[in-house]
Amino acid sequence: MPSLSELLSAQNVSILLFFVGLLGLVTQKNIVRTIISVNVMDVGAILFLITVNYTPGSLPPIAPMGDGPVADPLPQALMITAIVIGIAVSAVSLAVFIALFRRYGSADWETVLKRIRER
Amino acid sequence: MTGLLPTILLPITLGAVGYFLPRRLYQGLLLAGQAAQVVLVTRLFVMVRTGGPIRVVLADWPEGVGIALQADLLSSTLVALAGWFFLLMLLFNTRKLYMDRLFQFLFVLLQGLLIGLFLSGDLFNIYVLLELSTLVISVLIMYKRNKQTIYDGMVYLMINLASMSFMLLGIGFVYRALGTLDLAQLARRIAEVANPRSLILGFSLVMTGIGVKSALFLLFGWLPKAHGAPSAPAVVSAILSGIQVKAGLYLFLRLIVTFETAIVLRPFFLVVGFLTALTGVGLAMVQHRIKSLLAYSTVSQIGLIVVGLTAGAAGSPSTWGGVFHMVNHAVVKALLFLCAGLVIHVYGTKELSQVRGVLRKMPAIGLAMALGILGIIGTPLFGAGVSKYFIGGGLSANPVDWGILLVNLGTSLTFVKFGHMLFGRPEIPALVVDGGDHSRQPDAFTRTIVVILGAATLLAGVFAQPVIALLFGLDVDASGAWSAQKILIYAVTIAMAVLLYRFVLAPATEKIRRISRPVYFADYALGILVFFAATTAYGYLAG
Repeated sequence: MPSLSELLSAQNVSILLFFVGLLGLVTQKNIVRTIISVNVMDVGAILFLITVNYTPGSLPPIAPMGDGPVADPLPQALMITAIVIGIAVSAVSLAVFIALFRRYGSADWETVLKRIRER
Repeated sequence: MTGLLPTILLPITLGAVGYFLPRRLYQGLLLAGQAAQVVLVTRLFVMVRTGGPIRVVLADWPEGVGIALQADLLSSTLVALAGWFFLLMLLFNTRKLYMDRLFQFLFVLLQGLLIGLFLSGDLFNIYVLLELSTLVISVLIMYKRNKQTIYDGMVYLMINLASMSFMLLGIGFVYRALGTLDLAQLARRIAEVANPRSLILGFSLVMTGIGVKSALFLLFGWLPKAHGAPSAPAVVSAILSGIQVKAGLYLFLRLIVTFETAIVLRPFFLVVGFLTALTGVGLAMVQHRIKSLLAYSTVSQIGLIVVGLTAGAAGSPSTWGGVFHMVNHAVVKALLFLCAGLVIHVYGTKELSQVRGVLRKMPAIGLAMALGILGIIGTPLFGAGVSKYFIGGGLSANPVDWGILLVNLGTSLTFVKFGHMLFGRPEIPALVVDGGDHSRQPDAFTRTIVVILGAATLLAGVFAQPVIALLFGLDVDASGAWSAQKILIYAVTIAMAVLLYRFVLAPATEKIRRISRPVYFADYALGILVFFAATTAYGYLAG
């Protein structure tokens, strides 16, 4: 039986986060919550990539460093890009949402669609 | 200098550097840039034909660390297509009022991103380019900010962003299992993996992301909204259906080829392709708006392409048929969307039933449109007819061959409905939605571009053999596409389509519209989840 701290390893948490986000995407009817759900999925994926390929006791690939543990730097370098893109993506989604809200006065996917059909 | 990087950077740099110029100068600069771009992509196309595939790793990094760009027969064809298309579209649009600097900048930016996608040999790079193109497209389809477009843009954005999260997590799984993201290295390492099952989760996650981009069954909900957005500019619809969705399909093919040494996939995606094609035509024939009909028809053609790509092993006739259909469909659908845009502009309505007599009112446009219609229903001697023949070629004497006939019957039925716009007496519709412009005809310039595209659909078929030899270096016999048997089948299909339209579809349309239920966002999200679950389950069961 693995201990709680083993179960809550960064990888498991990241996969859990991803699927929590996916659950939100399927169940939530509020547009803001949809945007947040996608963000949570994104964070889960990014966390997974940051923790991937950490082998305890491995040696630094580029230059000699201190005695601390070392992980593969490539995914981490990639994730800086992914985080930056994530910010831009959230900003655009929220901006579109604001435009949508101003027009239809609702943050609910179904209500918005109903109002479009009525016009 | 291999010229791979300049084709990506030229439009983006010009667009950014010249942004402070006045509108007219900026437009001139971009057009000049597009002319140069056409030279670059054509040169790349010739280089790959004469010197074989080109591969460079940027900034002299070692293989597998740096970003690799590669051009082979397939990607150089698509890059050339993208180069020519954007030039034509910019020319087409020179006199439109909404062509301000921001629109033009985003437009050429999209070209850079798409060419980047075709040339990229690195999974993470592909992710970044896809994410960026999602943002650019979402702004482009919402550009004429009116009516429903913002809602469509929102749906498009959320579905695609969610799919990109899938892809990112999948990239994590792939990297954990194989330690590289370079597609060429991946293919080599996948062949050596001892336990292929360890790759399934990563593959199905990445595939869900790519599947949304290429609009497969259960994942295509965003496509009609984006491509058929009632008020999105016609050139945007043309580019989206012509080139952008092909980027998804191209990546789909790359992924299949990369992973198939470890995972059995083709039967699954063959079925997915058929389901995509059948639901696509099923939904297309009940649409009552011009652009939505075309958008759903894109879905069905995507299904056919997927069937072609997965029906035979890599390099078989049906695979090349699928690829050739990508090219043909790009030309035909861009043509139809441009004509639809002109028709909507002149008649001032988006409703199919209110447009009649296009041939009489705008002979050149009507003729081009007729060519497009004949092309898409797979008339022998037209490009799309030849590629459909090859797609079926891998499946002859097979029950799925009947499936293709069924899809083609649906397509014919859809375009019999669409073709009604050509005939009859042009009348001012009773209900004018946007305030049409009846006095004005499309100018000579616009007409020329549309007619060029129309001629291209026909020429691609008449000269199918040399065209295929040029594009893919393949010596095939295309004359089977217009054998007596094929022509007979074609004639029967059309006759059945006309009868079905007359006696079944036309009377039932109103009833179908009444019983249809609106599709909410949660349905699209559920579709993604189900697709992911099905792909994973199939991977484990078949492997």
